[in-house]
Amino acid sequence: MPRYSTKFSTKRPIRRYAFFVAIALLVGFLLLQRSSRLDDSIEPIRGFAGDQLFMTAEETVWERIFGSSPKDIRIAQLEARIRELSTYEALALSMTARMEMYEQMLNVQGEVRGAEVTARVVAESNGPFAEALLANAGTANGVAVGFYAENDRGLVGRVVQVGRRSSRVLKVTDFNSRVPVMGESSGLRAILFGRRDGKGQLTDQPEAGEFIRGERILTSGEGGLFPRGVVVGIVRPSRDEPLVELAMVTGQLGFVRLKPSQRVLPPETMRPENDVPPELPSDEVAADE
Amino acid sequence: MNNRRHPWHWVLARWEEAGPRTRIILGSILVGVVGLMGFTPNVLFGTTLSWPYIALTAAIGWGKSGFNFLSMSMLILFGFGQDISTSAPFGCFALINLMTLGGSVLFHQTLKVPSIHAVDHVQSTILLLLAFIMIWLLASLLTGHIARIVPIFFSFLTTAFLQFFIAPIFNIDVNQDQTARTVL
Repeated sequence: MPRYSTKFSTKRPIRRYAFFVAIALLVGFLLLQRSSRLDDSIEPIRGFAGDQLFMTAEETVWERIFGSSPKDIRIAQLEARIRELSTYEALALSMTARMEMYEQMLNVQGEVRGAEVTARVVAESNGPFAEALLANAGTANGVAVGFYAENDRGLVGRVVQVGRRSSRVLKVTDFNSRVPVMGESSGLRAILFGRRDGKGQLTDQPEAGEFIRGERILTSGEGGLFPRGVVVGIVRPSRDEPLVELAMVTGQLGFVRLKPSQRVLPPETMRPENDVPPELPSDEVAADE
Repeated sequence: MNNRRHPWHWVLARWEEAGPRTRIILGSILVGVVGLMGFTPNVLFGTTLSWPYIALTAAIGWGKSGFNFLSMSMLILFGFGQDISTSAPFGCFALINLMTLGGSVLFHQTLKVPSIHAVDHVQSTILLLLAFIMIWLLASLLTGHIARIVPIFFSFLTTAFLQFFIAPIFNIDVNQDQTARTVL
């Protein structure tokens, strides 16, 4: 015989009230977050939480006592590697000196390199809300919002949130991610966004024409978020619109390189350092004041 | 007599003696451990694994015994953790967890569904399905586009599979411990 539950929660009305109050508060909280001002004030909390998450990947007390932490093993490996590479150091230094000399002779304008950081991916979420990953480098390492992330295969995404020791990278596979791209051979420009099947879709082409099958898709550098020439993927044939097989491999992101976007401003927006602004007539200054 | 000395029987006896609060704390530890493991990239032979939403299993299990302040608090806490890990707006998963708890209370107490194993598993799976539909709806509403169904469906399958085995851990009704024997 099946047993029927005889309990009924009429004896516990306070708990039921608390349940409905909690539901109402959470719904209200969710609705309040539609306001961008409140959402911005929540960002530091998310950053702090990300930092705490990174702490889980740190050395435990047990590992500290017995010294068998992956960090110790890695240190030993790196020390061996340093010994091996030190033989090449002198050679590299002499070659650098020679290269600098050649560049001086040719008057080459070198590129300014910003602070780049290699970070380990400590968490990856491909949930229904956003496709993002958490890397273990933050403001303490010089990372800022707007840095872009690359791995050995190509573009991974861009930093959308930074904590002290962690940063959240919105992957190019996310639907809300928009990357200005161009075909390496065709030169056609477009905007790439993530599809539901993990591929990239090209849209908003300003020029008429078709992308060539198998050509590489690179960042076009427009908009200034990503520099020009970072590999994004390869054009694959499809029935309707060109699809891009993304170069980054989902789920195998052990490390990412976080780089500042090298935005090269057009000359009309830049003022030379020695350029002194013209003095305004005294009556115009008074009018301004 | 020999059976009595078996460690599983000792565990079972301690479990039967444990009150709802102890059971909720043990269940919370389990949810925390599984959740933390889910934070890391879960790749097996090049395939990304779908990680279960174990907090929903906890909500369904704890809801069978009615509302409880501790279980509600823990579910809200887990919800905030899930919000951080999935980049969801704050309060989203707490709301889903609480709604699932409320659904479980409704199924088990208000509707007076017979508490036999087969029916129990079916109604838990239905509740879980409803919870995942709610996740999909909220994700679609709050992100402004239709959320991907395939990853949610695979997470549902893994959660339902896990729920089949570990549901008794989240049974805090001390009068229904025969279910614990089946798993231990």
